[in-house]
Amino acid sequence: MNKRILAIICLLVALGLLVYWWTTGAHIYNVEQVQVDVVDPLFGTTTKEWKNDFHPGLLGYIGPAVAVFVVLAGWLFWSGRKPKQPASV
Amino acid sequence: MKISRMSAIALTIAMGICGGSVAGAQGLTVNASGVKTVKLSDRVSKNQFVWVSNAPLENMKGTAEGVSGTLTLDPRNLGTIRGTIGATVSTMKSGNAMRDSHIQSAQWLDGAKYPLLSFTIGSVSGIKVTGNSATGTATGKFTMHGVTKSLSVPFKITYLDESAETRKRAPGDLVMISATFDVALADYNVSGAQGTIGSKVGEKIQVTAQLFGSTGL
Repeated sequence: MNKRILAIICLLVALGLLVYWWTTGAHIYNVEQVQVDVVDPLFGTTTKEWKNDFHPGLLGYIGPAVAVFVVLAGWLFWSGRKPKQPASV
Repeated sequence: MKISRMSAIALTIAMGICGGSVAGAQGLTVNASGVKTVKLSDRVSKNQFVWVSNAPLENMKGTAEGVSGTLTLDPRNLGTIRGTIGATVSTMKSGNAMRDSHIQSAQWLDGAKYPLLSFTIGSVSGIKVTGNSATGTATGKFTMHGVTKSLSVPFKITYLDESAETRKRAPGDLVMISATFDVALADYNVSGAQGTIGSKVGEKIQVTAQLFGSTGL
């Protein structure tokens, strides 16, 4: 496969990871539990319960993974570029 | 002359009505009367402090449980609410185990040295009653990290007379109090890791207390 296409795929994966991170709470650090609302029917109040639900953080897994894919994309672009034609004399 | 006498009678009646409504303005519309002792208990519903930190680099949400306390109040005169509510620092959670350990550390709340957050109600004002609920402002002393400061907290109270429904939770009348207030970390000598407050941790933490108790425990 063309290295340029592979590089674009890597960039899309990096972008996808950032979108996933943003939509799952944009946590800076990994989160192992999230709050869920529980309504008390007697008082009509809402209390918080903790539910096990892992969300990778930017400084946990997402950031390093994005960095790897961006570096890989850069290397693929660089290595896949066409050699310059020698100037005709 | 006759008209002025009638006016005077009308004025007296009007003042009586107004005076009566002012006297009753701090009273809930419930069957209970007299001073009650309300013990906070998770049997009634989950007692907790929910806290939110908003900072430019990170927003955090957490809870503090292990809430305990006893209040005295007369449901017909809410100006009499008094008592102390506490929550243990060791029960504070943020959804990240490492961050929870940082919260307990000496740099932050120092849970080993100052294991309790507490609020002691000294006075209550601005009460507005709607049926068996009321809103008002409780002023008292809030203690955190070994520092005690005066704090005014707007609150809502709901009082439920004992019934077959309430007895499913706990004996006695049930009481719910919710209150939201801000705590400035600097006011309580919480400095945190260098450069963290204001960037990753908000300078002010918004706290919402959800308290549930019963007169029969």
